[in-house]
Parts: sequence; C-alpha cells; structure tokens
Amino acid sequence: MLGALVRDIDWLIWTFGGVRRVYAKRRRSRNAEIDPSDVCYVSIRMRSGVISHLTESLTPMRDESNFLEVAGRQGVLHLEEDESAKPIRSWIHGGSAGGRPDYSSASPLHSDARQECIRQFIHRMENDRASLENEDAGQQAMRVAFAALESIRTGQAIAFADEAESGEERTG
Amino acid sequence: MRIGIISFAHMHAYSYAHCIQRNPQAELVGIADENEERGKAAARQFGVNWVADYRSLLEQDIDAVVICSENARHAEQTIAAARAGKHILCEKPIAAALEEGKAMIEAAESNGVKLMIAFPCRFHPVAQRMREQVANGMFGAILAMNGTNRGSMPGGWFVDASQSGGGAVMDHTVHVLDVMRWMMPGAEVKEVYAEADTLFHSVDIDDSGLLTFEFDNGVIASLDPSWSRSASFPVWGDVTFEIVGTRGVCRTDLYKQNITLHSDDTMKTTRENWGADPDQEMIDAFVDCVRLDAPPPVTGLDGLRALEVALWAYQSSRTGQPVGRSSLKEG
Repeated sequence: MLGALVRDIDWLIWTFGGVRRVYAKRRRSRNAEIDPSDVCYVSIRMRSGVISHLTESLTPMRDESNFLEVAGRQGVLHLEEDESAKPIRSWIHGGSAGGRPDYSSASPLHSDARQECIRQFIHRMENDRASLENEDAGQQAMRVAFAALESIRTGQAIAFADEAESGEERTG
Repeated sequence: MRIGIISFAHMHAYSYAHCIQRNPQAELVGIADENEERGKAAARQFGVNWVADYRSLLEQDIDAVVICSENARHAEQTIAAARAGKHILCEKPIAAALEEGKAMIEAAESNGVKLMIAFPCRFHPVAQRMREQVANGMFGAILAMNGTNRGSMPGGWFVDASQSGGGAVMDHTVHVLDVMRWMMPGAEVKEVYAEADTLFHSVDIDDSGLLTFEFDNGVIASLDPSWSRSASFPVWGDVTFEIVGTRGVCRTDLYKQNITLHSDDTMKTTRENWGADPDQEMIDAFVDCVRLDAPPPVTGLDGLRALEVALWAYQSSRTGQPVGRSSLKEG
C-alpha cells in the first residue's frame, strides 16, 4: 500500500506542488489469507488549493482499475483503463471454458513508463548526471505517504507546517 | 390522484411534471410559482392553471404537492402543505438546515400526511441491481464504498447560500449518501472529513469538495460531489459507485447507457442517455404510496440523515479535522 501511495503522491507533488494537509482512511479484510482486499482513501489538500483524492486498493480488479481525472476551470481531463477502449481485442473460437471464446486485449506501446524511466536514468547517468532528479523528491513523497498512514492510525488530518517538508521545493 | 407542483425553481420540476402526466393514476392539476414568467410558461407547457401564491394552490382540491422550490423554502411550504392535509414529495435536500428538516417531519407526522424526499437514484435499475447483488452476498461483506456525483454548475439560486444553504457539497452529497445508506440498511455515518472550496467557477459558494467518511458498521467511504464538469463536457455529470467487498468488487455508473452525438449545431460531442428514467419510477412510487396508504419508500428521516452529512462536511472543512457524531450537538 505504501508503494502505491508514494507513486501517486509523487505524481501529485510533481504536477501540483507541495502538500498542505492529508487525511486518510483504510479498511482491510479481517482474513487476509482468504480475501486480500485492502482499501485506502486519501484526501490531500495541496498548497496551491488543489483538492485531490487517491484511491489505493488491492482488490480482484486491481490490474484494470487505473483511473485519473483532473478537473480545472476550463476543462476536464479523464483517463480510465476501460476494456472497450483497448485498441486490440480478440476472441478465439473454441476456448477453454465450455466453448466460450477466449478473450484477450492489448494496448501496445513502443516504450512504456517503466522502460522510459530506465532509459532516462541510463541516458542521464552517461551524459548528464547533474540533471538527475533530486533524490529528495522520493523523500518528499514518502513524508506525505507516512503522514497518510499516521492519519489512518490517529484518525486526524495531518497538516504540514513547513513547505519544504511537503514538496514545495519541487515545483518549477 | 390530483397533484400540484409548488415552484419550478428547481429544474427537476419539469421532469416530475412530465412523469405525473405519464402516470395513469395521477393528474397534474396546477402550478404555483412566485416567478410569474416561469410559472406561466410552465403552466402553458403542461396545460394547467398557474397561481402565484402556493397557499392558493393548497386551498384547491388536490391530494398532494411536489415541492421544487429553493432549498430554504422547503420547510415553510412543506409545513403549510401538511397543515392543509396534502401529501408531499419534496425535492432534495430536505431543507437547508437540520432544524427545518426536523420540523417538516414533525408537521407531516402530526397532520397524518406522507412526506417523501426526492432521491431518484434509488429508483434507477442500475442502482437496484447493484443493491440486489449486495444483498444476496455476491460481493461478501462490504468494506468500502467510493461514490461520485460530479456535475455542472447550475448557477441561479443554487449559488446563493441564503437560498440553497450550500453549494456543490450541499447539492450533490445527499444523492450518493442516500444510496449508500440504502445499500446498508441500518448503517449510519459516524464521522466525516471533508475538503470544500471554490475552485472552478467565479461564485461565492463552494463548487468543489471531497468527503472521506466512515459508517458505524466500519465501512469507509469517499465521495466527490463537485460541480467540476466544464461547459465543454459531453454530459451533465454522473452518479457512480464502487463497492469493495470481501468477495469482490462492483463498479457501477448509473448514467453510462449513452449514445454519442456529434452535432454541428452545438459544435460539441455529447453523450445522450438512453437508459431508464428513475424520475418516472420515483413519481410512480410516490403516487402508489399515497393511493395505497403505504409508507413512503424514501422518508423524511432519510432526507435528514443525508443532510446531516453534508452539514458535517462543511463543519469539517472549516476546522480541517474530521467531525464525528459524538462531537456534534444533536439539535
């Protein structure tokens, strides 16, 4: 859960700047061996005034539940990994389950985000080490993620008094 | 069953009027609206009489009224209708303040009339199918719920706090809250944390919010009630739910049954809904509960509980901390 939180919080800080306040709720199944469900809702108020909400969940549909919405004064950006939006969808006759066709889908790219991250890292290590992302970026996202976990534990909203603590330095 | 409509201030009145006229057991008798231009136009559209003063409508031979006035007028008009012996379907939210809502419930009870709150989402077949599946245990025990009721900024009296009681959080929290409570009979919200602000439009009221809350059965929930749909957005808004249970996950979108329209008239691509009309089911249910003397399928208390959460959200937003039932003074 922490890993997923850090990744999304990092994107929020990178896009909208520092964090002012965090509040979070988490609910897990009582018997994790039978049911691995684990849901976390995080409310984050950015210093810019932006209100953001993160849903992190480990559920049976976790592989196809990526969703992003950014709403602004002049428009709305919406991304949802919907099966019907996949550019390649295939049904193969005589599938395994009682004659129902085997279904598959794909959305291929020349380079996905992980490959691009590695490529950028190698490129900068070889050519421009100074421009590598400040390692503090990861720490800032971690601070906010840990604040979310603290909010879950205490039931209180966690405010950031120091702008640098919440990632304000990363803007610009 | 003879029905009058008090005010067309809320745009839902037009849909309800059509629904009344489509119900073979009901008759739309008259319209009361202090806005003469709006009231006369609606009366012409539906072929009925108009009066300016709702008290004149209440003096007529009608069985019930549908109240679609500004939120701050609901209490006064509902109490007057109850005293006149008329059954009432009141637009949501029940009122602009808890005390008003309680007075409405008391007036209906003491005068022996039915008070139903207009929560049409309960009557949508997508929501009903979801509830059936939850009830029969398809997803196991519910752990968490995530809902949205994002919409366009309605303007007019909706952005005047003295008439509406609140902005987007007031306008859209109650729909989703009502469905969540309906999904889990007996469960009530015990704690609310909320961020509310004015971020999208140049208005003097909240147009955005995010609620994170918990029910007394342990279920956690979140809700986006924002007026965040831009003028260019292809549809008015949405009502969605994601339910996470111990056996599975259900994701529903009540208004996803759409056909895409590319129009040169508007130079805009829109999604036109071909799905069910929950307003008709709701009006039919109201007519039936009056005709058959049955309990209203959505009660005044349902309306009050949903309003409570919206008001707690505002309180939480002001303090920056969660607001729990125990930390509030029940009025």
